[in-house]
Amino acid sequence: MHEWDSHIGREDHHADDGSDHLFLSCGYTAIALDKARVREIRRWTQPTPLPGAVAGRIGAINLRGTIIPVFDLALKAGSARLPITGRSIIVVAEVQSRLVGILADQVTTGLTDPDADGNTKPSAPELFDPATLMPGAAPPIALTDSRCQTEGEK
Amino acid sequence: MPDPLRATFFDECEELLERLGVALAPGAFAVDTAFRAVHTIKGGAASLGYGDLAEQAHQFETVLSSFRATGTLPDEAALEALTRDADALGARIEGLRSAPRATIGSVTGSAVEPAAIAADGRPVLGLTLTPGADFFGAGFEMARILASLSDLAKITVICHMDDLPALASLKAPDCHLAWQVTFDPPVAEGRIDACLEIAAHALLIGKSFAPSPPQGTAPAATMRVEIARIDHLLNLVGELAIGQTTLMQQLAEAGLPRHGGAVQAAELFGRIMRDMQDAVIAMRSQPALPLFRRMERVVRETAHTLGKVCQIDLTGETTEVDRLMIDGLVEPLTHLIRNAVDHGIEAASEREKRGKPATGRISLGAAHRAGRVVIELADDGQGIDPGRIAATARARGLIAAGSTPDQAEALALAFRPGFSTASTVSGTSGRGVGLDAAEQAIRALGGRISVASTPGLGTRFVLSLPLTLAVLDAMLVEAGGQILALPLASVLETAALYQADGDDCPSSPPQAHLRGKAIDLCDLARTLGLGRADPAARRAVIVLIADEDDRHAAFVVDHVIDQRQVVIKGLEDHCGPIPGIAAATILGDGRVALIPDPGRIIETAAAWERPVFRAARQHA
Repeated sequence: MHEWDSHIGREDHHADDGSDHLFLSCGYTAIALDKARVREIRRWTQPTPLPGAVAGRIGAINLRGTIIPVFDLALKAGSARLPITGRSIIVVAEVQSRLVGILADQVTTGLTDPDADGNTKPSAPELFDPATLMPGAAPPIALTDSRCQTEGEK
Repeated sequence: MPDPLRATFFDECEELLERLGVALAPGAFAVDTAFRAVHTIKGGAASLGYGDLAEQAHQFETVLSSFRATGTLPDEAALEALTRDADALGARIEGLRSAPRATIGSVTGSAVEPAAIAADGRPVLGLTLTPGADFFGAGFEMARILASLSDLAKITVICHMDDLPALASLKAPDCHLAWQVTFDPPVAEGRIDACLEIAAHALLIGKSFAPSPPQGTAPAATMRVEIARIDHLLNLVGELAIGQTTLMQQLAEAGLPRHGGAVQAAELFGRIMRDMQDAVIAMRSQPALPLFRRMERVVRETAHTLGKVCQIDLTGETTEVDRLMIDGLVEPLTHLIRNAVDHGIEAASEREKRGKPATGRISLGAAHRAGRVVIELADDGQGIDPGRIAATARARGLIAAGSTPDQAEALALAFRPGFSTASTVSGTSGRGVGLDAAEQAIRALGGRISVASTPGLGTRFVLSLPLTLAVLDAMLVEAGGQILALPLASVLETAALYQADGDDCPSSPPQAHLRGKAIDLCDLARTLGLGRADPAARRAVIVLIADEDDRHAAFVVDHVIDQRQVVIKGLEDHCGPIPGIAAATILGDGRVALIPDPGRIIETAAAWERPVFRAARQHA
């Protein structure tokens, strides 16, 4: 089970440095985002649904006059849609001058996993590339972790 | 010549010189870009009477065209020479810009008093016209020039024959006469320059000016700002407006008195906000004058090419129009004007036979009406002959062999793609790409075009356009729980929808009967994948829509909320193309509302299972 922490380990293809990444809890999905790509974190706003079948896109919101799409990564990964709670937030990331919102439950700078002995060890979800959410992008998201649970949920 | 036109010309020159510089950069030689920049400068200079500048640009253009024709790249020395030419062109432009009293056109000292040499925009009291050596050889006639000047104001003409030599030494091609023209009242120099433009290179023109109050003659300082920056400002103002709405709601929820200080202050904030929004929109606008002057040139050139005599009267040149709209209007207006001169205005002899003045008249005017820009283009030509249109349409199988369309139907046929009654294709028109292309371009600008014509008397086109491309007149409707902003330009009317009792006609797609006419129904929410309206459960509303091809459909929505202007927001930048959606807007509470594209929806609308409904109680 994940525990949010400020220390994480090193692993290929995974987020390697807590100071460079933000970790998003999206229901049972955890991802790491390059901090340099994160523009802001906003409280949840109901998006306006958009026509067209784009996996995981739940609508569009107004970001100070700019209309950006919002994605539910759980939905994109084939899971049920993330329930909206009082803690739901939208993380705005920028890729190639385009902005995209990602629905999340919580954001932190690091998380840990308990090992077999009950001791915590740093955990590092795969680095998520928001470019995969851009129009025309094909690759699916990186990781789903059924054991993922945020500190607040424990 | 009016100052705004000059200022715009010099601003454009600055931009074109920048482009020219980039195009001539070593290793990045782009001859087409360079040629277009120089050509545009030449055209502008000629139209504004800067003959020397036009000539210099023409020579430069000739050099560039040789590279263009051969496809060769200039070597280092040639590139340096080209760059020097570009610098020289820039220097002359700068000289003209900073010294507005400099000589313009073909005026030379021999014919003109120095004090009378042009000062732009000043009212001209009199002219001295002395034909140059090639005036008659080029086919010009002084009588025609004087006739066109007489349309500007009442004129008095004196022909000076003082220099007429003895008959024995007279040579046929030489002209030893000069004409002195006095205007009553004085006429703005720009109008005279426009009138004389075609013959300017073959004339020596002297001008005397009416006294005007002392004032700075340099054009007003302007600053070119990227439209994206203005749009960003507009975004921010829109956000402030949303903030103000939220504030008002919070104040109301807090139970503060409506006439209390806090609420009053918030309302004042809102009023300032709206003024600010108008001010930002105004920043995108500019007078229609440069567009109209360009059309003036199109009339002259087309008439000259076709050997017709006609003139254009301009009104409402100061009407402010969105800058992007002006760019978008050039092509459709050019189409319409060429058509008017080619097909509308008769030959002078024909006009005289019909009891009309030999000079055909085209009028072009702009005005703000009911929150829209209305542009009217009229000619006093032969009008559109419904019989001829019907014959062409029958010959092309567009209408049944025996049908005889009335005037309105015939005019509608003239807007069909590829429709032309011209028997021959000329350089100006007859290819059948005029009216439908013009209409499509107007529609693309969010506008509408209508035409009225009286055979034998003329044709009038009326273009109705939104004030700005940043704002759209929209009808807000709710469909499938979502608020949508339908472009009002596409909305014909609204009506309540009832299911017809016992009427189970298996039509596909389902249709509504509106005043006896069957119209395809389209469940807007369902088509857009936003849920669906349920007319059986509650009273739905249909919005009758016409797309740019004049195809009609009835969108079924839950209800109509309001009509208002909305600020258009692009979606594609961040969301990519959205099927059936043209753009979006932001509502007062900050929510995003989609702006459907009626044409695309009509194309892709899925059939609705419910059979036939009856539309009743027309709302609007």
